[in-house]
Amino acid sequence: MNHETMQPGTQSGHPGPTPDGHLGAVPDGPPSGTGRGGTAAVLRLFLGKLFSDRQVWGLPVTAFAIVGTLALLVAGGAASFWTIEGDLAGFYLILSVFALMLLVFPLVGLAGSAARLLARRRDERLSSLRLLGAGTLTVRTLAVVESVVLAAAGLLLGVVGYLVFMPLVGLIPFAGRPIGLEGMWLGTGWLFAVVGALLLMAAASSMAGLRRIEITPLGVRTRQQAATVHWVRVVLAVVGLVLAQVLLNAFGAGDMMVVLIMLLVGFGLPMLALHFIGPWLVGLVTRRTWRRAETAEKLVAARNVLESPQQAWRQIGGLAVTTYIGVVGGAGMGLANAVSAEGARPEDLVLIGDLQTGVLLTMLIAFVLTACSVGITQAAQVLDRAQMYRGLGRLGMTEPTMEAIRRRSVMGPLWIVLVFTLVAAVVTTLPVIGAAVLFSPASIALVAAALVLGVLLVRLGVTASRPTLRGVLAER
Amino acid sequence: MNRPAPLLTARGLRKSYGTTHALDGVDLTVEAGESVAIMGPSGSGKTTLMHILSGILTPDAGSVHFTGAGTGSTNGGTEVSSLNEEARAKLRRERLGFVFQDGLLLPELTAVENVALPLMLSGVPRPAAESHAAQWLAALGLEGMQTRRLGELSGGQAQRVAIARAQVADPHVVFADEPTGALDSATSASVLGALLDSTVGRGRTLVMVTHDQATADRCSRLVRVADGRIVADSAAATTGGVR
Ligand SMILES: Nc1ncnc2c1ncn2[C@@H]1O[C@H](COP(=O)(O)OP(=O)(O)OP(=O)(O)O)[C@@H](O)[C@H]1O
Ligand SMILES: [Mg+2]
Repeated sequence: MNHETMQPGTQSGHPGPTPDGHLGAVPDGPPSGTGRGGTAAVLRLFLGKLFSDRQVWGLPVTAFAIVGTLALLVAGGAASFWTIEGDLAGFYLILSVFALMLLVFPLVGLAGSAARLLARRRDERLSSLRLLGAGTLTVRTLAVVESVVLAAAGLLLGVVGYLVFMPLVGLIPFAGRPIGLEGMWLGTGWLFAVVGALLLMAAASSMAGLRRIEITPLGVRTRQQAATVHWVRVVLAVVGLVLAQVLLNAFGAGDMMVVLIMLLVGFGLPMLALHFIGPWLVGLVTRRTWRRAETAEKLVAARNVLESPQQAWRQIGGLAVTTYIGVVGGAGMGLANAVSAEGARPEDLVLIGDLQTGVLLTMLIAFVLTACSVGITQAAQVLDRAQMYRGLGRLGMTEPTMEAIRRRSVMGPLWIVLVFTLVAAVVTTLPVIGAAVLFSPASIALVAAALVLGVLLVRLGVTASRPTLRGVLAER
Repeated sequence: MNRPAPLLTARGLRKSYGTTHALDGVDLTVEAGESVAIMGPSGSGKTTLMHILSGILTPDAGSVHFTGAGTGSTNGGTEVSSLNEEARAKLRRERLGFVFQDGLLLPELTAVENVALPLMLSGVPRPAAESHAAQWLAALGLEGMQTRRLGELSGGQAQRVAIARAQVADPHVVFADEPTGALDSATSASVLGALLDSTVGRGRTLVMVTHDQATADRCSRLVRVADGRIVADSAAATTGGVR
């Protein structure tokens, strides 16, 4: 390519081939190796450098720290219900299982976006290694070990985060008193189980990503293939089955079995159905937005979503069910509280209050999980498309415009999901919500406030990745 | 001499990255209607020079003066390097065009949407922006490919889309950094033809970095850069001495 004629000597201090095509001094021949994999040497080389470049470890470690903290807090909170004693023990247990079921989707979504981060930058280096002829074993070991090391470092911080936030979350009252530190403490066994499960997920997703590299080193190298994630549904199903199994073992078959089947059939199936319909709905509405888009921001944001409505849904969809339950439950329990205020037993009032707290809390946790997932995914996307953003900057697109595009491509699907859910809630439970508006406006206000807070959290998730964009743009 | 003021005047440009002197005192004048090829070894400062001329980067020392109409100050033109980030972005958006080696088109947009984007960013209504963009695509031989996306275009076609995008706001100058660097020689020649026709062919100005002598030969002027300085300028022969 470089055929221009150059006066010799104008190029100084540049090692390697000189521009006129003559090579400098070249070493004789490569040192001879053993001919065997050299896995250990490669492993040492890469692991030694793993934590020297913040660009490599910063985001994945942060992501897994967040995942660890939130997963442990959710597990701790749920487990606190299992220690409640008295007549209502079984009832609280079912509530906690129900809440966990609702939170599995956003939790898996969050963990998934963290796991995808591990695959990001590494893919390129690994397929380069592949192209250089590194053995399958070397590549595979390196990928898994790197992922697990990064994830473990993050999860370790996550455990610290869990311990730090435990007292705060412990202030939330249930069954007439705050959950407390003891309630929030999972016990070492469960703690290791949760951390171990997350680590396994990191390893598994890095293996899954790896198969792609092994099949088409060139494909990944040039980012031709879209990274689709199929395993979310499988994980959902497995988690559901495991939960059922654990509960069955703990409490024996019988009533619990019936209740669980009811829960799974009554809510699990519609949830699954919703996750098939959701992407289609997001695509449908966004297509309309795209057609009517007048500004560059709206146009690009809509195109962004249409590129993969599934991905948009994966990030936001977990909010549909939790919001539905939060709105209906929040209004319903507020109403029940208002109506039965006189002449009700104090235990019943506590229970109703707990239900109200529980549904709203579950909804808010889902928003927090989604916000974190949005922040992580957005930061990763900015890094993936750094070149593009810099190019757009050179063309004269300003940073606020890029921010607006990113914000719209997250908030657009979020509004679709929320509006759809709210309409569904009002239509299906009009009497409850109508009565609540009349007799317990305070509870409606509470639900509304929780929703606003949730939306703001997701918005904050987008904003959290703004420094990443600024960093990318500052680099020329 | 009774010539109009030059379109671009750069004086004493210096730019360092740490201890690397990417530009080490560059003076350059570009007249309207010229096509300037900038050549030089890798790392000699070509990209840096172009980024400073177009207000993407600010120099450590020196100035860039731009006298395109409608650049704010009506008669005297604009001191590019003294504008703030926002104003330089506006200048690039509305008065300058860019073509990069890797076209940097948005993959989720269609060809016509990509080309219309600069106009829409400047507040042109979408229907007008898209129909104007479609005309440019047609002019560059991409009729019928308006709704294709990046993945459905060949490298040469994608680069033509990038050229259309650079032209759509009717800029005074188009800056191109190795616009055909990723293409084979036949495609490269035809894309270059499109770039020249759509700029100097219409009385506009082109400043292009290239490594390819054949490409440089088709420009009206050749500037050679080495170690952050201009070491040869074909226009210097007519005015006597390196400018
Ligand atoms: N952001 C940066 N940080 C540090 N050094 C830089 C940066 N950008 C450029 N340089 C250095 O400045 C010098 C000039 O770079 P420039 O990109 O202008 O070269 P070029 O002539 O365009 O080279 P090429 O033909 O390879 O594109 C090089 O030595 C380069 O290493
Ligand atoms: Mg360059």
